[in-house]
Formats: sequence, C-alpha cells, structure tokens
Amino acid sequence: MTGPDHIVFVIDDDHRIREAVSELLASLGMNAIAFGAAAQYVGFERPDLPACLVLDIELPDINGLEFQKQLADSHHPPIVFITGHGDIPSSVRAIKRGAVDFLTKPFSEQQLLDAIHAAIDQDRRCRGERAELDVLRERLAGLTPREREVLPLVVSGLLNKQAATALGISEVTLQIHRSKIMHKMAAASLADLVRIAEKLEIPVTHSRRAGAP
Amino acid sequence: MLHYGDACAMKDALSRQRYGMALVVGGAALLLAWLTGDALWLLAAVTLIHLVAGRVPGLVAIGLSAVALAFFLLVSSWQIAEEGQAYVRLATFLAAALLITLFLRDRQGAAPQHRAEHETRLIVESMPGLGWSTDPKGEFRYLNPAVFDYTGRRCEPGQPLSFGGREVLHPEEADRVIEAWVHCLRTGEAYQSEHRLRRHDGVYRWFRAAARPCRDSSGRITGWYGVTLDIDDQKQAEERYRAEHDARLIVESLPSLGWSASPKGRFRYLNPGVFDYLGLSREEIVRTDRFDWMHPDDVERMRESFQRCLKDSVPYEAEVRLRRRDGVYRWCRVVAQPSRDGDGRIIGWYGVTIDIDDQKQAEEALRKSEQQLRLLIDTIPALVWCARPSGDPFYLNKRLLDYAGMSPEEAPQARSKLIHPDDVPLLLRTWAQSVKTGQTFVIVYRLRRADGTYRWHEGRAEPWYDQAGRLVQWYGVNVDIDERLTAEQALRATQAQFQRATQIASLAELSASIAHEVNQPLAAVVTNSHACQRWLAAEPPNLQRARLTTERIIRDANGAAQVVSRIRALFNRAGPIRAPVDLHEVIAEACRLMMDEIVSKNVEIETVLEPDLPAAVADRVQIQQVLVNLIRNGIEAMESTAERPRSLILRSRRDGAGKVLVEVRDRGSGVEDTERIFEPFVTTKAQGMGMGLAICRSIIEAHEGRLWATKIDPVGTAFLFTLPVEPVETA
Repeated sequence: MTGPDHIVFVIDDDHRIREAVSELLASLGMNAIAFGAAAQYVGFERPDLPACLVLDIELPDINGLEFQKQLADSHHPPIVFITGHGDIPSSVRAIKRGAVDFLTKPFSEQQLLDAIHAAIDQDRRCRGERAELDVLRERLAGLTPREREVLPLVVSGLLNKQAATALGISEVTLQIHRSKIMHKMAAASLADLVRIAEKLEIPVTHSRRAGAP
Repeated sequence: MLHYGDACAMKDALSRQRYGMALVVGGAALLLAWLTGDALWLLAAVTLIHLVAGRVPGLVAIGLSAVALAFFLLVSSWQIAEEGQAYVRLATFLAAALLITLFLRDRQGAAPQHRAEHETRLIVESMPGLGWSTDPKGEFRYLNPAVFDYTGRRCEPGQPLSFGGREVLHPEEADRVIEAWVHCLRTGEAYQSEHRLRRHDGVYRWFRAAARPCRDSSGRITGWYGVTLDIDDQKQAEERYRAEHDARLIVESLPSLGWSASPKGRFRYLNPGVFDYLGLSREEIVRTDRFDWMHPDDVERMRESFQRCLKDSVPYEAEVRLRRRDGVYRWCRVVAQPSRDGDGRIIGWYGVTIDIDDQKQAEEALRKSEQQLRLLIDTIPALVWCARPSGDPFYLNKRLLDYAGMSPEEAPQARSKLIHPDDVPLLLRTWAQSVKTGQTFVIVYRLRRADGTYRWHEGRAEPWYDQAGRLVQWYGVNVDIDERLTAEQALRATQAQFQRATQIASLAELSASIAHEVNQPLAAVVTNSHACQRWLAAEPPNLQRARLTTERIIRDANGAAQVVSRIRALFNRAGPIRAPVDLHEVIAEACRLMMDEIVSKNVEIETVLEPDLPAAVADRVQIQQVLVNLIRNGIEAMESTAERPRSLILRSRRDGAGKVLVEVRDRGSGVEDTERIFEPFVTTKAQGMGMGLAICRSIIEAHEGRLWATKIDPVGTAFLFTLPVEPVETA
C-alpha cells in the first residue's frame, strides 16, 4: 500500500461505538480517525484525501443534525448518520440536507460499509470536479481585462462582426483577442470554450439575433 | 169676649134661632102670667128667660119666681087669692122689667160686640194659617176651617176635635213636636215649633206653629190659642239659597279652574282659581285668545278639538299644557259639559280644568320605569317566566318566546313540547315538589329552540309571598348553559386525553431511553463481532486483534446486561410515595378519567362504598393508575357482550384483616386462568402488550397489598386488591 487513499472520520460520544467502528474499519484495512465530540473534529487538521464522516445524532456538545447544517457551507466529506433511536422526521431532514445514509444502532456491517464506500466515492468525485474547476479558474485569471470582455460575447455565439461592433473595435482586433482566449483557456474548439465557460458560470449576455437582449 | 167665646161660638151660632124663640115664648109666658096672675106661667117665663139670658140673670129670675111662688102658695093656702094675684102680677112685672132690661142691655152691647166677634171670626177663619185653641189639657176646642181644608178631615159631631194627631206629623219630627207641646202644656211656656204636616193629598209641607196660654185673673190657664203657618215656600227658598250659596262656595274654593262659557265659547264666569293659576286678571283673560296660554305644540290640536266640540255640542274632554303664572307649562285636563234649555238648545258650557301635571309626570315616570323593566326583562340574556301558585305559567318574556319561536298565546299549551322528552319526568317531579312545598326550584334540563335543537338550560324559580304569607306567584329564570356545559365536557375530555397522552408520552420516553441505553452496548457488540470475524478471516488471522475485539464484546455485552439490571433496580428501588389516601376520592377520580369511555361504551357504573372507610396508605397516583387499568379492563371485557347490560360495580370495604379492599367487578365474558393473566405479556386482547395487570400487581405488591382475580358466577370477573390502612397513632 502506498499510503491511504481515503479516510473515515467517526464522531460518537460513546467510546464503545468509536472503538468498535474503528476496529471494524481497521479489520477491513480502512483508515479511520474517531472523535468524542464535534468540536474535536472541527479542530482537526484534515488530510487532503477523499473522506467520509460517520456522525452520531446525539452528541454531547451539539445535535448531529445541527452540526450537519453548520458544515453545509464549507467543503466537507459526505455524512453517514448513526443513531440509537432514529425517528422518521430526523432521518428525512438528514437525507434532505445531503446525508448519504441514516443507520439505526445496532447496524449491520454491510449497511455501514456500503454507506461508507458510497460516501467516499461521492467525495472522490466531488474532489475531482473541484480540482478541474480550479485549473479552469486559474486559466481564466490569466486573461487580460479586454479578453475577459470578449469571452462572454464569443461564447454567446455572436458573429465576430457583431462582437466587434458591441465592443467598438475592429473585427480583426477581435479575432486576435479570440485566438488568444482560445489558447489561454486551452480550448480545442469553440464548442470546448463554450463548455468551459459554462463550468465557470460565465453568463451568456448576448444573442446573435439582432434586437434580442 | 174673644178670649172666651170662641170655643162656644159654634154652639151659640147654632142656638141663635132658639134664642129668639125663647125670648118670644118667654115674653108670651110673662104676658099670660100677667093676665092670669097664675104663678105657673111666671115660672115658665122665668125658666125661659134663664135659658135665654144665662146664669146670673137666670138666678135672679129664679129667685124672683121662687119668692112669687112662695107668696102664691102662701096666699092660696091662706085663701087670699086677690092678694096672691097681686103678688104674682108684681113678680111678673118685675120679671118682665128684668127681661126688658136684659134685652136692652143685650141689644145695647151685642151690636158692637157681635160685629167685633164677627170680625174676629172672619180673621180667624180666613187667615192664611191654621188657627186653633185647646183647653188647658190640650184638648182642641176650636180649629179654623183652614185646618179641615188642609188635613182633609171633617168635623164629626160627637167626636172630639182633632188635627189628626201623630198621623199628620212627619215621622221624622213627630216625637220632637209632641214632646215640645207636652212640655209647654206642663210648664205654661209659649209653644213654638217648625215641623212638617201632611196635606190631604199626602204631601208634607213645612209649618211654623206658635201658641200661647190664656190665663184667668187668678193666673190659671184657661186655654191655649195657637196658629200654625205654612212656611214651606220660604223654607224651600231658603234651601235653594243655601244650595246655591254652597255651589258657589264650592266653585270658588275649588282647587282647580272652574268656569262657564257662552254657547259660542266665550267665558262668562271664571272662578278665582283661574286668575290665581294663570296670573291674569279677568279682563286680560277675556281679552286674550285662550290659545295664548297653551303650549305651542298643543295649540293646533286644541283648536281643532275645540271647534269640533262647539259644532257637535258634545261633552268636551282634552289634555293640554297650560302656562302657569310662573311661565311653566303644566299638563291640565279640561272637562266641560253643555247645559241645555227645555228645547235642547245649549245655553252655556260649564267646565273645570284640573292640573294633572304631577299625576302625568308620575304616570310618565311609572310608564318609563315599567318600560325600562319590560325592556330589561325582554333583553336580559335569560329566559324569564312567571307562574301562578298552581304552577301554570302565565308570563313568558320575549326572549323566551323568541327562543321557542312561538306566540304568547300558544306558549302555555306548548310548554311540554319544549322540554326534552328525557327530562320531562324529572322536571314535572321537581316542579310539583316545589309547587307543593314552596321551595326554590332548581333544575338543569334541555329546552328546544325554535330550530329544533335542544340546548341545556339551568332553570330556577323562587316563590313570592304576600304579607299574609300566601304564595302569590312564582318567578323563574332559565339560563342557557349549553355552551358552558359543552365546554366543560370538552374540557373534561381534553383533560382525560391529556392525562392519557402524558402517560403514553412518558412511557414512550422511558422506552426510548431504555432502548438507547441497551442499544449502545448492543451496537458495539455487533460491530466488534464483525471486526473480530474479519480479523480471524484475515490471512494470516490477526489473533491479537481478534482477542481484543472479543474482550470488548464481552465487556459491552456485560454492559448491556448491567443496563437491564439497573433499570430493574431503578423500578424496584423507586418506592412509592406513601400517604393517607381516601380511596373513595380515588375511585371518583378514576371514574371521572374514564367518563368518556364509560359513556361511549354505554357502561353503567355502580359504586357500593362503605361509609367511614379508613384512609389507605398509598401512592395516590399509582393506585389511581391501577383503578383506571382495572376499569378499562372491565369495560373492554364487556365490549362484546351485547345481550347483557354492561354494568361495572366498584365496591369498597374493610377486609377484616386490618386492610381495606377494593373490588372491580365486570359482567364480561370472564377469564380462564385467574393467575396467568397477571404474568407479563399474557393478554386476552387483540391489541395489548399484556403488561397492564402485571404492572398493577407489582404496584399493589409494592404497597404491601394483594391483587387477585376471581370468576363470578354466572358471568364476569372480579378484580380485588387490598391496601394497608394508616396505623392508629398512639400518643
């Protein structure tokens, strides 16, 4: 093994559960770190790995559902809830907010593992997307101000002539800007550029048809 | 002679002819005596003269004749006839002379005397009054013709003269008059009297009678002379005058406004009250228009009625506000009557105007207060009624009529229809009792509203007694308590539900916390077991880790076992709060809590409670829980029994061993094994954990009591439990 490719965080106030879950994951060769309270988890320097959070609903310092709400703003690993006595409203709320699963103690090995694997896969996918987007953002940042003005017009599908008129520049100049953009953004074609712009959420502000906004 | 001869006047008048004849015959006899000289003739003459001339000359004549006779007899015996004749002649001569003297004297005095007597007689007989005289004893001697004319009686010869006595006197005065007359007769005082006498036609007229006694020289009363004058007309005139005077006085002193007016309505007479009231002089009143003193609002109406009255000539009556002297308008009643002459023409109007302002105001105040009261009674948010002592209602207020939707006429008959059929017997019984005893009537019953719905009412009635303590009538009021009652029922139901909910909730909480306590170690055990399995299945098996997990499994399993035993310990240790409890109160509370089910399942609860049951030492809430449980079991046991009445008997008594005993007996289908039902998880019900009776038994046993069940013959089950009683404290 060349070091762990994932990590499982376990938060439960009952040490017996923490021990048992950690032991089970260890027996499966999975990497797990357990915390007795939410605050400990927050203060922990998380390694940059695909992860999963196994969270007990009844925590000494904060209710699990409340904690989920707090985490929603930041990039956090997907949550698998475990509870002593789960009720339907709590489980619905948890799933609605993006929890992967909601397990009632005592849970079976398979239930737990399925949920953890699903969570880690989900996190891994998210992380990949986030990394790709970061590259694109970096490229976007490399554009000059003028090029940043030209980009929305181009991806809106305007003809060079129309785009040049909109910016009050010559068609030739515009073509130069456009080729530079294509190059800087590492776009193979105009369609590629449009897809990139979509990922970067660059708004389509113009329409090729005259008169329309 | 007036004072003497009146009484004999009648007789004298009758013998007047005889008188003349006597004189002629007497004279003739004297002549014969003279011629014959015979004394017998002389004797006859003298006798005649005596008869004519009366007593004194008669005696003289008798004396003379006696002497003459004596001489004659003497001489004849002496045979001296010549001389005898001479004596007779002498006596005859003397007698004749006497006769002539008498005659002349009589002639001389009689002429004027007779005239005076005649005049007197005329006066007495023709005077406009009743003249009369009596002897000293009061016997009438003379009555003038007017008496006979007036009384219509006749003078019957041989009958004593009389006015008619008591008969002619008015019965009202007879005694007084007779008494006065008798008094005068006795004392000799002048007699005077005014009284009524009956005329021949039966009419009584007033007379004034006056009489004086006549006395002789020695002062003895010789007779009474009186006159009775007719004063009837005078009396009537006086009477009229007095009446008129009184009438005038009445009119003038009348404490109101009296007046008379011409047929056209012009004032003719106004009594002082008018001037005083209006503060105007006669001239001012006559000069001004009468409508000037009336309230402007009344003028139009009064003018109209005044004109109509003059036209139709009918008695006038009106109420009008008049301006008093102080400028205040006051209500007055004007009443006037026309006076008509013989032909029916109106000759004047006579009227009186009375100040009725105070009365009017009092009436108005009374009317207002009555109206107020009626308004109060009709708007008060209650149904008000009155009933006679017999119990029949005779008044229902508007709200009651509106509520029932009926008219006042049909209300008394429709009363029974208003009451809910189920409440009628109770109402009739209670009301009859109240009517009989006069006690306050209180009842809660259902009354039908106009829309047909029955609403609960609280009816109350109080009798009203007069001063003599007689029941005059009943005053009743019904208040709609339907909403209150419904609200109370709803509240009770809510309370019961809430109580049950809290019981359920606490049970749920308890079970959740137990589950949590047990689940934690169990979850750890399961997970560790899986881990252990993995370690053992690994190549090579990681025995060290497997052992570690196994140790943890043992530890956590023990932990779970400890939780269970801790919970059991918790239940066992939590001893109930012991305090004296009145079991009857607890039974009542339990029944109240179960009321909904009792009512909805149509179960009849009968309680047979021993009086003065000693207080049990127990946890009130737990005992209540046991009772609720047993009652619920009983009700549910009878759920399927449709053929028998569903009755549940709650009984309390001393068990004879220093404890109190409570029995809950149902008439349900019964149980097979009266011991097994107390075991946990044993139930005869489709839905149920089978914990109820087990818990009940544990509660009762924790109280050092006993709970058991027995079968009842032929049907049903009885659950009995005992509880210790409070030990009697010894000081």
